[in-house]
Parts: sequence; structure tokens; C-alpha cells
Amino acid sequence: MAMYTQRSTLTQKVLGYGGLAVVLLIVLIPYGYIALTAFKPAEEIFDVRWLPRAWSLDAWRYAIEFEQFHVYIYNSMIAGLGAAVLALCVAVPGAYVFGRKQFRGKDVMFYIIVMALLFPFVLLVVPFTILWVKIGLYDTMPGLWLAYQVFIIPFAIWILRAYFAELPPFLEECAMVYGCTAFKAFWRVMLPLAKPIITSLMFLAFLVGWNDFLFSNMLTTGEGPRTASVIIYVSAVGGERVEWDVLMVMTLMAGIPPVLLYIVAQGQFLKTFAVRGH
Amino acid sequence: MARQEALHPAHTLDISSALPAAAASRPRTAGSERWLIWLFLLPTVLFLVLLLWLPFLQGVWMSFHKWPFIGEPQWIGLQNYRDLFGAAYFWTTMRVTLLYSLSTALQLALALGAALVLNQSFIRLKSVWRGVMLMPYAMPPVVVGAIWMYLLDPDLGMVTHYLLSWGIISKPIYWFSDPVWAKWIIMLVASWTFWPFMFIILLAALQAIPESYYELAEVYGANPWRRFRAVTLPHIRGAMLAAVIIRIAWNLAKIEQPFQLTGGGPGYETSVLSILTYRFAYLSGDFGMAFTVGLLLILVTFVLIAPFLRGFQKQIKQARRR
Amino acid sequence: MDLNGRYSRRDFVAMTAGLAAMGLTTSLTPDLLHAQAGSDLKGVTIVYWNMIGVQNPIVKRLSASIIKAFEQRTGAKVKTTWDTYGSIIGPKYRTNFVAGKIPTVFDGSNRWSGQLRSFLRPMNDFIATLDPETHAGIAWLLPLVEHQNRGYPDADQIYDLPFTLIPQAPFVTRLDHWEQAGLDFDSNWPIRDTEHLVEVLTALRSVTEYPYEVYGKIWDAGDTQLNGWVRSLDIPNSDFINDDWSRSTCDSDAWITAVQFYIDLYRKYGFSSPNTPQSTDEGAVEQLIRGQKSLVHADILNRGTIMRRMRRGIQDGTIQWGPHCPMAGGTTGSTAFLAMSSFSITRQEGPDAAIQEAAAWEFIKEWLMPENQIALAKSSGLCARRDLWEDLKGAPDRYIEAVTSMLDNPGVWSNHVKSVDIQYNLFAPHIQQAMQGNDVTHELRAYAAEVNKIL
Repeated sequence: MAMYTQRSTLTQKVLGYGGLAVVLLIVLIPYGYIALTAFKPAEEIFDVRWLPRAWSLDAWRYAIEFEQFHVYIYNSMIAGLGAAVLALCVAVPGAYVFGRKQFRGKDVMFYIIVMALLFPFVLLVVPFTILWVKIGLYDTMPGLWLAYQVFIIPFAIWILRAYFAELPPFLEECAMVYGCTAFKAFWRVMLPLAKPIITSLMFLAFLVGWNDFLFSNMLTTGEGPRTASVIIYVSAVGGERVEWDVLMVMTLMAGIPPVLLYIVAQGQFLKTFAVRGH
Repeated sequence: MARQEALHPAHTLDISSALPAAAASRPRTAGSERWLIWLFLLPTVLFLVLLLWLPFLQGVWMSFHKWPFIGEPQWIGLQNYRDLFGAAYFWTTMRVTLLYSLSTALQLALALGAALVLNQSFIRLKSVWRGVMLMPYAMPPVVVGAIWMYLLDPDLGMVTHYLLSWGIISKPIYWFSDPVWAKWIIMLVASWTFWPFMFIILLAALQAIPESYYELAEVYGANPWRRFRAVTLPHIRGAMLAAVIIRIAWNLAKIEQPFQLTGGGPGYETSVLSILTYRFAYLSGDFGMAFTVGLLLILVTFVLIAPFLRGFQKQIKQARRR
Repeated sequence: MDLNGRYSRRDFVAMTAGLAAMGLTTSLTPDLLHAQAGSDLKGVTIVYWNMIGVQNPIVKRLSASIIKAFEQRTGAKVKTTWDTYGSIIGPKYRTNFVAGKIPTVFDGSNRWSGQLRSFLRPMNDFIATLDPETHAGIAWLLPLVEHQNRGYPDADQIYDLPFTLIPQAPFVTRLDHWEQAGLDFDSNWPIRDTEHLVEVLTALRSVTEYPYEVYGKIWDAGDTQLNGWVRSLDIPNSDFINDDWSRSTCDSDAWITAVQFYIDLYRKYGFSSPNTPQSTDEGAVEQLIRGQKSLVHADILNRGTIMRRMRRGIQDGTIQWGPHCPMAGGTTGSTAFLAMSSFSITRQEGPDAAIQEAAAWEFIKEWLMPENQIALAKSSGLCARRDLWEDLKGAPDRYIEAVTSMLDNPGVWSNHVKSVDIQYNLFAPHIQQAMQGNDVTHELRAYAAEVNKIL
């Protein structure tokens, strides 16, 4: 909305900045506290104070030098990106047809997707693991990409369908009158229009891969591509006692890349809108 | 209502306006198009059927069995269902499941508020703030759960410390062991963790609203509230309904976080259905029972999302008609 | 270190130096580092899944160095997966084994390996080849392991070999609180029985509001101090299930008396905080360190927490460990349950089977070497080798003295296929409900009925 010069009253500004401040506080107070705790030495972990008395890098050293946590951050990155690309290839065509075309069995299709959304994922890990080992996807990056689609595909289709359906009708027909094939109408007309929502969806898909613990843990061992979320759990949380300082460091490290990526993607976004013009 | 229609101009996106009205004569579904339809649907359908529906149907079948993890299943008819509905904790579990689903409303409120604010032109450094909003969901939820346990620790955590020192409470609240608070706390933590998911969707929908609509609304002299009602809401309703449906389903299906926080206790007070599923499947090794609970979970979720589902379908049909 | 656990020389020296700074020396000596490795296992690769101590940086470093030492010594290669308790309690190990993803050797707690028994290889032939000293050091554990597996037809086969021990559960206390309360430590330590405990806690309440803690969280309710109290009253009924694994013992009088006392400490005496239904020994130890608790039960893994947060308290003797006490009127000699961390070797097939199994055994032997056992005992649980305990005594907090004095006749928990369900999943909700005021006898009977149904 970069170009829209809406006249904003003072009340609006106060409300806007006030609302922003409230949400920022909700997010940043816990986050900031964690961030500072990551620099506390072990003896101070449960001292309730914001700044450490003695700043310590011990946990950072352990996480990076010994645990090599940055390697797993990289794995997560690849896992998330691959999941997003794969989701795009499967879900966009499906959602497009589902949102804009009439075909027999559309109602059945609707329920197939709804039910897929409701499935208790936790029960899927057993058949998946057995299948993944059998077909050689266990301990591989493509295996993770494919597994994440269980979460991603249903919601991606859901959201994309709504978007495609709400685009003005007859767009493709117009294009086809001008000589486009059905495929070209999709490729040249519909896809560019859906770019903002597709970017957002890819981002959500990326986050699903980035955050997932269930499949990432079940479908890999130390010999395969373990992701950061698994390593945090294994290194700090999953035992009898929690190693708080290590946990804080790893959480901080894992939390930053997606945020930066989103900020960059947002810039991309604004450009998309600007180009589209009116 | 008439006003609202008026404020909702015919879509004026570039392409449709650039093309002549000739398109109104809708061509029949051509052979090539039919091909395209099936080609496009195939990956999705294959994926959903093979990876989700087959295990699901097998699960339905297995809910009529006694099915130990390692060993042969044995047909027992409706026994699993009788056991589940007869269990002392059944209603406790159902109640907390419903309460837990309310987390979606909180997530929506936060997400909508933040998305609306961050879509205003006068806010500076918008893309940075948008990134910051993402933080809670940029960390693995299972880890976020552990972090909240640290912050909320009734005896050692910073939350209790400040509440006490500001005089808001006079003695620590034992969030995780108080049967009432425990339910609320898993819900609140889930809200904090997952709201950015909705935020991303809603912000994208807001960003896709052409400015010309707002300009037009202003010409008509609509105040901000009317602009919201007449322009914003209709355009994000589809995205909002989709997001609500997804979040209800996921809030109820994902278990790592509440299990981390309370282990389903005290008693069964926070054993939402998905935790019960996990407990039966993996701690008890009783997959027949786990799928029985899983099916009930699907049913409960379906009932909860049904109204939104209908709204969503209606919304899309309307969109098609416009 | 790269993903497969290979180390550069630099990593390696840094790591051992780090351990040395903590007073831990391992079998890894500089001579071994560059000596030509014994070549008998050269070219053999074993897969090892490690979950014991992985969340403790000190223990994890130690494990990495023991693995490295083994590779140096034998020329074999170890592919390590770091894992968690959740993986053997939950779906991961089970599912992976069924799917065919099986490590050559793994560690775990030997009451949770029953579900994997059909995949394991008995180690009796290997154990017989141990050098006499090591054999003598661990032989006392073998009857206990057999007893844990008493319900299986091949109970005399050892599938799990313990390497560290967690006696459940000693007391840990702060001397400064005793002084503040005007209590004489020497005449009141160790705690004699539960009546004495109540007396001491009553005095300590002048220092801390909730000097003690009763544990209710799912993973702590059924395996910390409660079981020792049951055992002091009725040894045959002290495990969760009876001798032939046909029914639950938890509706017996001893259980009802002990659980009632456990709950009373919270509800009647008020020694334990309102957090009780969700509290853990790990949390209680953090509070002890902060001075919010005075005397709690905690397994010795918690010593790692105290080491990190209150090292001075250990060095100057403020922190003291003591043996668990019996119930008033119970026998004194048998108040502990012994949790054990153990190794298992999986059954191998194919032409390499024999050499793989042999390599796995060599690997286990590495962990039983005296210097590794001692290093483990200093940072993790008590070492399995009894012959080394004397060398460990003398720390100012007397933790070795406390736990070893509990082990004359320890109980062990059954390695039943459903042990996680029995000991934790089904048990905890009933205990928590009793903590909220439900009748103890009623809850225990309901629990026993649930267990009897699945046995």
C-alpha cells in the first residue's frame, strides 16, 4: 500500500502506534528476556534480572564450537526451502483447478482435502517411517521435504483456492479468446496475479519445515540431515533436566533467520504491488 | 447493504479491464482444458490419497481391533469405543479440548489487530515490525513450550517475580498444577506461539486489496469503521475463514507443546484429545485405542469447523458469481 | 566436528583439555591419540545411538571422547546419533526398529528395552570373556538384570549391560538452613525414618515456606522417593507388578500406606509447594540452589545442576547428600530402587554379523574401563563397577557415600513391554488426583485395575 496517501487523523495514528506497541511488547518482552538470558553464566540462569551480572559466552561456545549448531541451521534452511518449493509445485496447480474450474467429483475432492487437514498427524509417523525406510527416503533431505507436505498441502490448497476463486471470473476465458491455451492462461495470467499470496504461502511452508519436530526427528538419525529443531530438543530439552543457557542460545539462533527472510520477502512483496499498479 | 454493494466496484484488475467484453460469452470446457484439470489435480490427489487417506482408512479399520505395536491385531468390535466413552476422564478430556480450541479466537484477534495496524501507510519501518511479529512462530513450538515453562516457573520464573513485586498477586500462581490455570496456560502459550501463522495470511490478504477501493470509499465519505466493514472485511473474509479453519484443526492436532508443558496433568485436566492419542499410541502402545481417540478428534474438529466451512463455501460461491 | 562425528586434531585436544579442566580423565590419552590403532577392527563401522547424558554438556563431551578413544584404540568407526529419553519412551526407537533402521549398539534405561527384546542379542558369552577385575566389578548387577526380566522365558540371558546407575533417591540438603533452623546436623543425619523426616522438616519450615517437595509430574511421581518407602514396608510387593507379571501390586497395604504418607507430606503437613502435582526433582533442586528449599529427594544426575550453578556449595560442604530413609516401622536395609543405564547390542545378520557384534562388545568394554567409569561417575550416574566406588569417595558433598550406602539390597523395576505405561502413563494421573484430594485407596485400586487389564 506504499502509494496510497490516505489522510490519517491523529486518533488513527495514536490507535495505530498504540496497537503496534502492545503487540510488540507481547512478542518482545519474553523474547528479549530469553535473548539476555543466553548471555548469563550458569549460576545466574534463575536470577530474575534483565542484564547479566557477568556476561558469559560459554553457552554460545558450546552451541557453536561443540554442537556445531550453525550446520543444523543450514540444514533447516534447506529443509524449509525445499518444502516450500515442492509445496508450490503440487499445491498451486491443484488449488487453481479446485478454485476456478468445474469438474466432476469436485465435492468429493473438497472432503478429501478437509479430512486431510483434520488428521491427527501424530499417528502418521509410524506408517511414514516404515514406508520411508522401504523406499529409501529415510535420512534424506527429499524425504523430509515430502513428509512436510502432509502439513503443507492441505492448508496451501485451502488458502490458494480461496484466493483464486475470488479473482474476477472469466479472466482465463478472456485470455483464451486472445489465443492462449488453458495452460498459458494459467501460466501467464493467473499465476502472476497470485504472486503475493504464493509468496506468503511459500513462507508459511518454509516455516512448517523450519519448525517441524515430529517428522524431522522420526525420519532422521545422526547420519542424515537433522534440522535445528531436532538438535535443540536433543541437546537441551529432551533429557531429565533442561540445559537452560544452551536452550536459550539455540532458540535465539534458530529464531532469527526466518525473521530476516520475512523482512526481505516483504520488500519483494511491496515491489510486486508497485509493479502491478492501478 | 445497498451501500456496501455500491462500494464494491466491479473488479478493476488490469487484465480484465484491458480485455474487451467479448469474454462474456463463455467458451465451453475444451478438451485441452479437461486435460489440464486432471493433470493439475493429479499430484494433489495422489499425495492426499496415498499418504493421508490410506493410513486413515487403515486406522478406522484398526479402531475395531486390539492392536499392540509389535504383534498381531485382534478383532474386538466396538470395545475400544465402549472403553473410551466409559472412561472416567472422558468428559474432562472433551471439555479441555473445547477450551483449548478457543485459542484460535485469541490468535485471530492478535493476528487481525497486528495485520491491520501494520497495513497502515503512516507506520514507519513496517517491514521490520512485520518481521518481529513472526518471532514466536520462527522458533520450534516444542522449544517455545520449554521457554514458557522457564518464564512462568511459579517459584523461580520472571513472570511470578514481577507479578509479586508489582503487587498484582500476593502469592505465586501455580500455573501448571492448578487444574483451572493449567487449562488456560496451555491455551495462552499456544496462542502466543501460533498467532503469526494467521498474521502472515491476513497481512497477505490485506496487501492484495487494491487501493482504488479505499479511495472510492473515501469519495463516498466512509469513516474508517465503515471502510473496514465495506472494503476490508469482504476482501479478507475468505482468507480469514481459511485461516480459522486451519488453525482450529492444527491447534487440536498438534501435541508437542501442551505435552511438554503439563504432560496432560494434573490428573487428566489438560489431556486434550491429541495428547490422549499420543498417550495411547506411544506410551501405552495401543494403536487400536489411539485411532479410536483419533477418529473422535477428527469428528470433534469437524463439528467445530463446520460453521466456518459453510461460511467459506458460501464466500467462494459468491465470489464466483460476482 | 563434522556430522559423522569425525574430529580434527584441534577439536580433539580442545575437548580433552576441557574435560581435564573439570577433573575428568578418560581412556583417551595423548599416546593413544597418535599411536597406530589396534588394527583388528579396522574397516568395521558400527552404528551407536546414544541418549544417556546427551543433554548434559559435560557428559556429552565425555561420551564423545570415549567414542573417539574407542576409534583410536581399535581402528573401528562409530556413527553416532545423539538422542533423547523421549525417543525410547515414545515412538522413535520402536518404529525405527520395526522399519529396519537398527543401530548396532545403543544405550538406554534397562526397564524400557523389553519392547525391543526380540531385536537384541544376549551378551552372556561376551560377559564371560571380561577380565576378572571388570567382571567382579559388575557381576553383582547381573542377578538384578535377570530379576527385571523375570517374566520372559529367557530371563537368564543378559540383553542389557548396565554401565551407570541411578539409585532412587538420596536426600540432598543445605547445611546453612540447618544452622538457621537451629538443628544439629551431625545427630540428625542421615535421616532415620519418615517420622524423623517430619520432625526435621517441621524445624526447617522456620527457614523456608516449603522446605521439601513431593513430585507429581508424569515422569517423576513413580520413580523417585515413593518406591523406596514402599520397599521398606514390603519387599515382594515393591515393584509395580508382582513376581510373575500377572497383576499389579499397587493396591497392597504397603503401597496404600506409602502413597498416603507421600500425599500427606503435601496435603497434611504442608511441606511441599502447591506446585506438587506438576513438580519434579530437577525443579526442586533449582529451588534448593536458590535457597527456596532446604531438604529434598533428588537423583544424583542433579548433581550436574548443582555443579553448574553452585559449585562453591559443593566445595565448601554446604550441600550434603544422604541416603534415603525407610518408612517408620519399615526395614532399614532396603530403601532404594536402582535405575540403570545400560548398553544393548542388536542381533546382526549377514556375513559381517560376527565382527559387528564383536565390535559392539569392544565398544561397550571401552565404557567399562576404570578411567571412563570414574569420569562417568563424576559427571553422570554412579558407575556400575563396584570395585571403583572406594576411589570415588571423599567429595565434600558425600554423594558417593550416600548412594552407595543405599545399595545393599536395592529393588529394580520390571522390564515389561508395557513398563512406560505402567510406571508413568497410567500411574501419574492417579497420584495427581490423590494430590488434589481424592482418596488414596480409591485411586490406587483404580490404577491397579487398569494395570491388571493390560497385563
